[in-house]
Amino acid sequence: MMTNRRVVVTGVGAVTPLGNDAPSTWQGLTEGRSGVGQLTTIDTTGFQVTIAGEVKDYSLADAVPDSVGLRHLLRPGTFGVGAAWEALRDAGVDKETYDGADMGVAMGACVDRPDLQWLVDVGALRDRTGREDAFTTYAPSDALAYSQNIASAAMARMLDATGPMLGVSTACSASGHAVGEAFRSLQEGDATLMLAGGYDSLTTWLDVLCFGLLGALTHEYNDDPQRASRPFDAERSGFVLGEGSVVLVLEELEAARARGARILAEILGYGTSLNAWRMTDSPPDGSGAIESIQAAIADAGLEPADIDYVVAHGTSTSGNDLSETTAIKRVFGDDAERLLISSPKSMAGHLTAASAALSLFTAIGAINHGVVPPTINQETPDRRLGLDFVPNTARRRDVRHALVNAFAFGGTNVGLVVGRYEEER
Amino acid sequence: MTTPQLGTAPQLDGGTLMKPMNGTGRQVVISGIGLLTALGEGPEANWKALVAGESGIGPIRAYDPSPLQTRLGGEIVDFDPTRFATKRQLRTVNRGDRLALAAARLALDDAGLPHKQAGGDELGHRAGLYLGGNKSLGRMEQLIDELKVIRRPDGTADMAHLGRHGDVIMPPLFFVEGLPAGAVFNISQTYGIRGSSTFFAGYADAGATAIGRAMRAVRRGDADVALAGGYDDATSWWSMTLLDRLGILTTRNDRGQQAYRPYDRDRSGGLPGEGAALLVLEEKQAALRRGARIYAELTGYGAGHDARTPPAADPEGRGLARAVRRSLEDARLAADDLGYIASDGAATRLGDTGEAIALRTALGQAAGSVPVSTPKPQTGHLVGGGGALNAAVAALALHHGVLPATLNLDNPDPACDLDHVRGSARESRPSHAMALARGIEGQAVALTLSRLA
Repeated sequence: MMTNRRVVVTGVGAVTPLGNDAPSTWQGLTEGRSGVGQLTTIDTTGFQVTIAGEVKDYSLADAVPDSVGLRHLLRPGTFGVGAAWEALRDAGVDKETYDGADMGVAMGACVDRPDLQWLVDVGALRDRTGREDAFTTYAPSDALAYSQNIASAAMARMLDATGPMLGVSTACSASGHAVGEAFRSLQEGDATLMLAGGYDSLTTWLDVLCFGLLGALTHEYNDDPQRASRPFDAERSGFVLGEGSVVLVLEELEAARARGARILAEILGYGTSLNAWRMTDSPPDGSGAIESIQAAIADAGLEPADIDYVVAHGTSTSGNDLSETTAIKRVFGDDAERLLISSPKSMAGHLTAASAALSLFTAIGAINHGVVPPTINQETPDRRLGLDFVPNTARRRDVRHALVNAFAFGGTNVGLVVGRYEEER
Repeated sequence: MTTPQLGTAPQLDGGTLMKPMNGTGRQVVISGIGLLTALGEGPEANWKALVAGESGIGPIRAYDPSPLQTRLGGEIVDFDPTRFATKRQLRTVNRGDRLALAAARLALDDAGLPHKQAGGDELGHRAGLYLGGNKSLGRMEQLIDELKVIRRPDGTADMAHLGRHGDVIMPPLFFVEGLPAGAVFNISQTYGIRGSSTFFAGYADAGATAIGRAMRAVRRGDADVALAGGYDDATSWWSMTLLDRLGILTTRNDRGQQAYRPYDRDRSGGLPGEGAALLVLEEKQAALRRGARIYAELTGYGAGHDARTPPAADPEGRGLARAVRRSLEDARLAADDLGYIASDGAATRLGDTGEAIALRTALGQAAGSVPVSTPKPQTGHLVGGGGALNAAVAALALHHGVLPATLNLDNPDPACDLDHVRGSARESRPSHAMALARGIEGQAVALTLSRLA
């Protein structure tokens, strides 16, 4: 019989389109506010899609007083380091809390995108030289900035953390895997504390263009951006890109108790699966998602009937929302009618590699405040779905156990189960 | 030099740390190896070449490397991806992912698993897939070519033109091909692997982390069998645009196959190599029941981080020392149980001395008597696949009772004072071995392998 160490959440940090810290993000979620607007970080003239959930008025130097030495950070990394800083302060943790060797970092993120001008310049070089394989190389500082885990390394420096460093790159489920693998690392004794979550900013020329060309983004609400992300609504027509970071402090329970930490929630279960189906679609019968949900609930030692709230992946694409709802119905049976299900993407947009961490943050907020954030833009119910998606306004509900779903292109699925902290389990 | 203190916090003390680890009683063995490097295809060809001291290094030929400071590498010249994937699949699979797809097939066949492509069933929900790599996007050639039309007369990019005509300008499958975890998708779909999974991005650490996390998944029962490892197209021009000037590669192109010389007084950096190393990990009793050939047991995993500002590594390799100690704890072994280490051998000034210091820190006196070697001077540094290759080499060393030598180690640097296997391979039948991996963002991973008793 496996005797796992227990893992609790003792701090949260967030930089999202809803606010540049955790309290304002939570407030935005419960108010049902949309953080989606016109894209300002790139010129979208001529683009089919012109909107996204952007982080606004953010500066790492303001967020982190001691940001000296945080070089090589690009936009997503600045969100990550800011969120990590807030999470550590929220948890009351610094580099003296534990031996550095007992602390680690697990982050979902993405490599940077190539600079458009650089690509055009290489094309010009090829024309000029007549050599189709001519190219130029990146300066070392640019090459490092391009690298995925530079911000995670900066987080490790904040704690002088020499424990595990896990950089996950499964796109839209990445921070789900990162939290899950951090949970396992703590259960299995590889660390006492892990910073876990994700950071991403795919509001780039490449992603806005290419996700758009794939038909994954909605382009029907450019003039009405706050109504664009409408998971589970019949009028949904694609997802809305977002950006930002959510970072959690995860700790082994006995250590957290010994230092008198405030405990926000307990991570109870983690399950993953593969669709093995299509690169960019999810199976309409919900398979793949069914297995990750079931694995997470079983790992928590719970039954589906124990789950009160599902933070849905809920992207607002036709396919995901149908497939996810089908999976929920299959796993929960008649009980699905009783569940509250909502998608923070309706408000923040899709934070891609950071989205699962935002969902987990939403679940932890619901557990602590007894308030379930809504799915906004519910105007025309999709009769094929027909579950309680907490339309438009937050709802008071005592939440003891919540399930977080995260799915991704490539068919990599994650389920996480988080619960109210109770001494005896 | 300070000794990293593991277990100072009370809950990490002594036995309590160990209890959860093997609570299931499940052990994990390596029953298949899929290898594709500049030295050849499959564990046998690679092993023969490694032991014979052959080199797969040569001038980069896939493109004109003249824009590079480093123009040598370990390329796989005769790789035929159509043996491992359909033409339709290959439209969305870049070079690195093709190598991964090929190594997956080689590993599953080597393990004798009756998978979907060999007339068997899907491997299904009890099969896991854990990969690590350093992928960024797909084939850039076509993208650069198509983007020429948005160049204004003054050379600047006309993004509005791109926005309006993106559907004809952008290569349609470029974005799909560029998915970082593309190999996870392609392998899972090809072999019907539907179980637990994730994908790690990094350098040599990435594939080693994938193997370590997969081992834990099998040990705890999240999966019964798992395909795990790393891969990279490190010699490609696009990879080299990023790697070339980081200060980790040698520019001594004049030295040819002698250029990459880890731990040598005349070392000047590493060389890239392309390739993939994937292992089949299997729950031991299941593997024994089906009469599988078992290369070694995977007994320990430990991870660490330097917590310095990249690309600077900790001069004392503290992340690596932490990883090594944790891996031994996980395997419940003492330092002097180790009989071989497949080392990182970056061949940078501080990388090699830091590695030697880390081993002395973690292993104490035993560091002087454990044979150490690295395959990298022969294959090049497989970057995302480098750590996984070391794991395969350690498994093969235990299996064959032979320790390959570090090529080009003519004058060992006294600051890297270890028991280097050099000159020629050494006959030895160690009971336990370790494979190391370090990443330039500060990551470190140590995997412990044991010969079946």
